[in-house]
Amino acid sequence: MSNYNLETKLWSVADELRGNMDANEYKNYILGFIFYRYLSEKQEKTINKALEDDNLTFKDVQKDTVIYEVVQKDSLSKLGYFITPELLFSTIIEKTDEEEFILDDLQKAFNQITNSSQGTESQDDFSNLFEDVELNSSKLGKTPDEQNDKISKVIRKLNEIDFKLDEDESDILGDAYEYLIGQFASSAGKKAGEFYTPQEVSTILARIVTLNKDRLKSVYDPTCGSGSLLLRVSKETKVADFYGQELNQTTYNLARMNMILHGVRYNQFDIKQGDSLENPQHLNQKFEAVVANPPFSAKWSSSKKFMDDERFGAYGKLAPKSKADYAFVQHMIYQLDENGTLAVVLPHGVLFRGAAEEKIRRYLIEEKNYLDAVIGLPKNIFYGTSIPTCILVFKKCREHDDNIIFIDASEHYEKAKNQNKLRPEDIDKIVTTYAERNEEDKYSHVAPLEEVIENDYNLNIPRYVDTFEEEEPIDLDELVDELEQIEKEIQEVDDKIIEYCKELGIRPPVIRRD
Amino acid sequence: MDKSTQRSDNTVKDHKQDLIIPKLRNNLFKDNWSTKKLGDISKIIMGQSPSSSNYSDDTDDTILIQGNQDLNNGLVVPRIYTSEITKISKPGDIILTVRAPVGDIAINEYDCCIGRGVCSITPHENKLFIYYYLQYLNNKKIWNKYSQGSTFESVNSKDIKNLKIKIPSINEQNYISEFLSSIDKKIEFMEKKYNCLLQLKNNIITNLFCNEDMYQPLLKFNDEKWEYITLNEIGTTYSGLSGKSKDDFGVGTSLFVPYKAIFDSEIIDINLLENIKINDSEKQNLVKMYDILFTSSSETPEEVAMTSIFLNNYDNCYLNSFSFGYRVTAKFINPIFLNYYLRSPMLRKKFYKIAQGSTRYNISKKEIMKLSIKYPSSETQEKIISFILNMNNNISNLRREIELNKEFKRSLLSKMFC
Repeated sequence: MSNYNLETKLWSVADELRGNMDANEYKNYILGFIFYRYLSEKQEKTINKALEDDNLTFKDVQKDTVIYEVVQKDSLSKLGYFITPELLFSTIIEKTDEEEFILDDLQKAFNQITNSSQGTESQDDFSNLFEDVELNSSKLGKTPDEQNDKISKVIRKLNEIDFKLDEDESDILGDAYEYLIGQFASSAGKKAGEFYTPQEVSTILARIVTLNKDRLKSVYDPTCGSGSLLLRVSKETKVADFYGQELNQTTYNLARMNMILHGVRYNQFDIKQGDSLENPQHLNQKFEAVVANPPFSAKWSSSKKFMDDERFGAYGKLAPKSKADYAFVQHMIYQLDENGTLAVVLPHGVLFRGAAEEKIRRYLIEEKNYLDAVIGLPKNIFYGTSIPTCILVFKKCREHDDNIIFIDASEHYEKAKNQNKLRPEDIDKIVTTYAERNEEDKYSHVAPLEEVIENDYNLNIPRYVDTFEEEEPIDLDELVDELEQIEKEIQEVDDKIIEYCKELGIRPPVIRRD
Repeated sequence: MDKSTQRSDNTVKDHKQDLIIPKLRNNLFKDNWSTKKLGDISKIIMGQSPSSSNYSDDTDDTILIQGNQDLNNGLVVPRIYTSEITKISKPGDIILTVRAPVGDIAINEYDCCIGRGVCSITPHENKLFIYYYLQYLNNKKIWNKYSQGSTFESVNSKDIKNLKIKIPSINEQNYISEFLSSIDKKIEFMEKKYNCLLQLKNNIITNLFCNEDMYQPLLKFNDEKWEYITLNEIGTTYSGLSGKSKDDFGVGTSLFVPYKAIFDSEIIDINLLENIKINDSEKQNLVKMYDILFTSSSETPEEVAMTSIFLNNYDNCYLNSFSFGYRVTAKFINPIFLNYYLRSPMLRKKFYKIAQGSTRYNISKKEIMKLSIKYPSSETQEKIISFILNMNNNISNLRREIELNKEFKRSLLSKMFC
């Protein structure tokens, strides 16, 4: 309901910083502060609720060492962190009323959140979470006082917004947070091949990997970004555990905040930082659902050592240096459980490019028979790139293992301002067509494996889904009738023209052929 | 600015001894023509643009005419709509564009709103006469004098109202406009005929060739069976220029076939060849007579692998780098026949299927060479070629006839008015 309101209000906090720096930088402040306030209020609420029967609040019990210690322990085990009363968001807001200097306290609060989890189970989830929120950046102001002034304004503005944490089951704040991440992504411009996955595309992936499952043991995303794809899967079905890896430190921080903000408990997610091709962190695990939107045609080392790597060795060739697309696919397949489903967004080139990629493609189909579906998406649906993309779906145990379904959804979208957008009905159509393996003229085709072999394992969609618009044939007789009619009318006009020309004494431009 | 606009009186004085008559005239008419101002013999409404936020695609709204992009061949073509109505033009009014470019005209058939790029004229005299008179003025480029020295060509309401029109009796007005409109009608009919012939040709060509799963084509000259063969088996390919730098193009004594020449027509027009510098030491492939040239990349999959045949004998002509050549080696295949075959809808569909790419579409030589065709005896190939050539000649003759009629009308416009 007021979802939209919360989103716009949160986005408007960014106005305070917009003049000082670009989106990529101020997002760290906004998202960091929102997260800090969330943790702070969540803790206060949790503790206050526990103390309700005693008619006490968290701030009342700070002098009582015994109760205080119990409360602290409780918070650590329930939430995974603990903030002392003088460093709560509400306390710091009070200080800004008096225009006090708060930057030191804020820094202390951040350190406390990360340090309180040291040596506990939640350590990995909170370490270095706030490192991107640089409180003494010169971009905030020249002097510490100016910096303090700016930050105070931002957090006071943030304080005016109601986070609606009382609405327990709802995900309002989490979704608004997600919306902000998306907004920042679209206004920050692109970085080499990294694009924020639009929600519509995440939804398709999520719905495909959760088809016919009322719960998932695990979901894994090797290039998880801010974690939105993982969370999207949990909107479709109950997910026990979330696993992810993200190369970019800042985005990795966001992913962990995003998880916590969506109410995923610290012991339910395991997100690691690092390059999942060079330095995979979950190699000894298999997952029931694997999803990803890896950077499009990223560079990777393609180093010979990978020929000895279990993930890549059997294929005979490594993905080329300049295009890691298939390396990610191979990595994901390695992590996929026997009963699981893998859905990945890739650029169109993976369908038809030759050389090593052709070899890998062929191996996946001929030797493994893992490929279950090829779905062509409309062009220009990603922020910052117009490149046409596709979704590949892989399964280790395929129900329909003698065919592959091809879906050409490239013409099914709505034109928005700068972007093409998939409508809910477009998403439904893709998922239903895939689930039911429907064949529809100019949209989908269930291709027997022989057909794919005939095409030399080239998966380019037009070879399978015929979308060629043939010209409507017009009846020859009809055309000749029309021609005769025109000829007659020309003759009549000619008669008139000849008449006029005679009167004017000039030669008529009419040659009678009869 | 025209001096007459500074005068305050409405009538323009002519010297008595000046005879105002056109060069070409029916002897029945003897009267002198008189000079009037457009503003005195018609009602003129200058356009005013609605706010752009009120523009729409909704055909229930009012048609908006903004400029010459909304006019075509003397008619209004609805393009955008508006929910706010500022100034109105009625069916039968003449629309005249008043800014960049000035002078385009059309007869309006709708109730529509006019933006500030146009004005609407409702003549009190014969409407068509005024319409043709404005065409005559535009051909004479009289609007140029209003736009001299200004960066954005436009005329104002005063310029238009003071425009001098020389006008005969109403009977002569009727006579002239009837004659000119019969010529317009003829041109319109011929354009229709032209389109009809094009469709006819496409229709025939589609059925003149044989599909893979057919024994013979639908339209056949005789009862023979068409044979199956792949392009690989009947010819060889070669690639376009390689290793050339920007500086080599446009200079030198050698020629090359640019991409567009292949794309545009089924036979290479040698007027489109361009110069290139080729050194003696370079190894580049020459284009020879009867070579079929393929474009190998394009913006859309529909346009990939267009073919065109080279029908000239040159010893210094090469091929652009984004295309490749195909030389028929089999004696039993007529290259001209093959070229028509490759442009037929049947083959276009096959090319579309094997085109691939994301931002540009490419097609590989190897894949094309795998394609199969069906062919008849050499005699039948000759017949098919000759049939298509005749259809083409017929069509291009008509195009020339249309152009001649347009010329004829221009010359009448220049002689029948003054």
